[in-house]
Amino acid sequence: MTTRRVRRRTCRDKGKGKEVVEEGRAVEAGSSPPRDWVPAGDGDGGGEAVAGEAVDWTLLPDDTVLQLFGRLSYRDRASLGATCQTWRGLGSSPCLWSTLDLRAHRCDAEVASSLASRCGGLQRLRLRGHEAAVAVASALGARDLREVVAEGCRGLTDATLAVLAARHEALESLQIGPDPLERISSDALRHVALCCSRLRRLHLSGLREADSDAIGALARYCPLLEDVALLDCGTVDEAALGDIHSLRFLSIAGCYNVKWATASASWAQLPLLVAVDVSRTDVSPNAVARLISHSKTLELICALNCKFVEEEQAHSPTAFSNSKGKLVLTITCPIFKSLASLFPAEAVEEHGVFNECNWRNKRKILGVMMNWLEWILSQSLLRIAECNPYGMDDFWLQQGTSMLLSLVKSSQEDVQERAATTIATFVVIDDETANVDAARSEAVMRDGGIPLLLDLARCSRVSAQSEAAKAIANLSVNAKVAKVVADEGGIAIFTNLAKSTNRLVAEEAAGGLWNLSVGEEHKRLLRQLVV
Amino acid sequence: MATREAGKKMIMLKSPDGMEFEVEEAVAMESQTIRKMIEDDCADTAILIPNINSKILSRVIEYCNKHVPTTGATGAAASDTVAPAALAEDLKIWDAEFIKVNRATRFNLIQAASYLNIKGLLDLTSQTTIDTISDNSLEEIRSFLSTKNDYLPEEEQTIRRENQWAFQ
Repeated sequence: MTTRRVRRRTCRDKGKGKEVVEEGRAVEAGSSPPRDWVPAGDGDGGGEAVAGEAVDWTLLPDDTVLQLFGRLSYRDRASLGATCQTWRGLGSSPCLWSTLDLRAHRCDAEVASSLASRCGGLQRLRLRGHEAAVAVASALGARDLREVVAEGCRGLTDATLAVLAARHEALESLQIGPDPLERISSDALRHVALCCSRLRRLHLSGLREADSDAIGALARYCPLLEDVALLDCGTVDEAALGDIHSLRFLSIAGCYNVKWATASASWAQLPLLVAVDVSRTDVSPNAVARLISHSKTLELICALNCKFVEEEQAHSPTAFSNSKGKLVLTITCPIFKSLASLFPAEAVEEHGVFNECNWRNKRKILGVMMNWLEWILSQSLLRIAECNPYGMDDFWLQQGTSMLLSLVKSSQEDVQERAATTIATFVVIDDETANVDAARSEAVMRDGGIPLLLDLARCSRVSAQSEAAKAIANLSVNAKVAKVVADEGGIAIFTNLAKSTNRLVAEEAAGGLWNLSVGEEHKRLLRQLVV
Repeated sequence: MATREAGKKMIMLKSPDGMEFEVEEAVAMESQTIRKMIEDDCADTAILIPNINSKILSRVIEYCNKHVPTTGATGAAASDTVAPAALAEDLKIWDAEFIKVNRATRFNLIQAASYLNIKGLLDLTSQTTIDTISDNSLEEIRSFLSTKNDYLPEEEQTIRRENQWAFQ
């Protein structure tokens, strides 16, 4: 409570300071023009409008006000909407309530029911934590919800998931992870299949088991299901996945206990399958070869950090070269170059393969595949960075870093955030001593990552702010990087973030300022800005 | 104001207080509203811009003049050739200086940008307003916008309950 009051006071003081400056200029500006035509609502116009009385902000066109609202945090939206009746009305416009990100807010049943009246047209929802999931399932309403992305739901139970599915039958996309769903059983999965027949995308992490009944139910009751990711799961019935005939994209990254012979034989028969992700598994080179030779539709196999595949490639570099136009992505292959071959007609610059402009006017499926690839790559890269397996240095320095920076520019917000988190993670090589790898952090700097991350830190989404701030803070342990961050205006940006009402953002920013203050000249700069 | 250069088509813009501004067509077409008028052939002699006074209009033209080479009629690709990063940085600094105006002027600039449909200017003016509003209390925002509180006490209670989640 105390800290918050202190923060407020700084805010207000700063506001007053600004006003003084503004008044000074205003008099100047007001006196210079010879004539001043006054538009409706401007009252006294020019010079006299300094006190603010003269301007009636409610006269702005509705769409301009909606645009303003759309760029504010929920907290500021709430304050702005509470100023007067007109803006309250605008603040509850359905267009501002089609997407809701509750991750930074505490969400219990009371909150969910207070939101319910505005969520009639809600389509996309992001939330964090088991409690929030329970509240949403029981009290939010939002019958038209199409997409749910939930994280930090380790404690999620079968009962909650079942209610969530039953209350939101229009769901087309359900993503819960990356915290393992240890308590979710195949029963709940079957229930989701029964309720949500319009499901197109299902991404779940850390299930202990997905048995043939559950996957069979998905195959039977969800005829539109085209994108399934079961990440880091215990046992997955690989043969049953071959019955989901609508499947185009499949990821079982991080799953062990997979019977690869069965899996490859069964998935090769899927009539629409476009891409498979088997990263971080013990997939055998034989299984990869079988998918390549037997599947008629497959275009891409992603196999990052797969021990046996890499061994095979080291043994015979041309192992998967005769792949009938199918791409096999491994950490030892030039990934950018391989992907550029997907766009043969265009002169796509290698590092521009993740630039969405290059996907237009192509077969639609290619754009969908690139979006999917961004998503699964961001997942796998984060996991690899977290585990920091031996022998990855070459990969990070040669292409991993530029891949991460491409992903920071993704059009998918969660991919952006995950890429920033990964940058924050992969530069720290020793958690105990908080030791930062010089080569890796300088690679980020060399590839232009600093202005990119600073831009992300300045956007209006708190979740992106905190991840970007964390990344820059960690990178700034390296003095060379810290200097570039300061040169790019990082100190001012961090000083702003440190005043955020979001605790996480403020903490990361404070940490960043601390790291930036190591050099003497920065310390002086910092004192000037903070005091 | 813009002077006539050989080969460049000029457009006359008139403000309601009788001032006339001669600008290059490409500069005027930074405004989607004016672009539409020109494309629809409604711009033979001069275009009257209602409800934007000469003071504001001259500033809007100043903005468009500055921004036309990078995002103008030739499209975004033009900026790729000449050190885009440095150019963008230069524009950023210029924008920051440009927007240092009093509240009434800023308000009028938002109105103008919105009417004339100039995305960059609307973004700039809105962002400045957002930066002012961000993280302030309701009372501070009210005083900044000088809005009158037109709620009944019981309504205020409801609104507070409605919005509580956003503050947690």
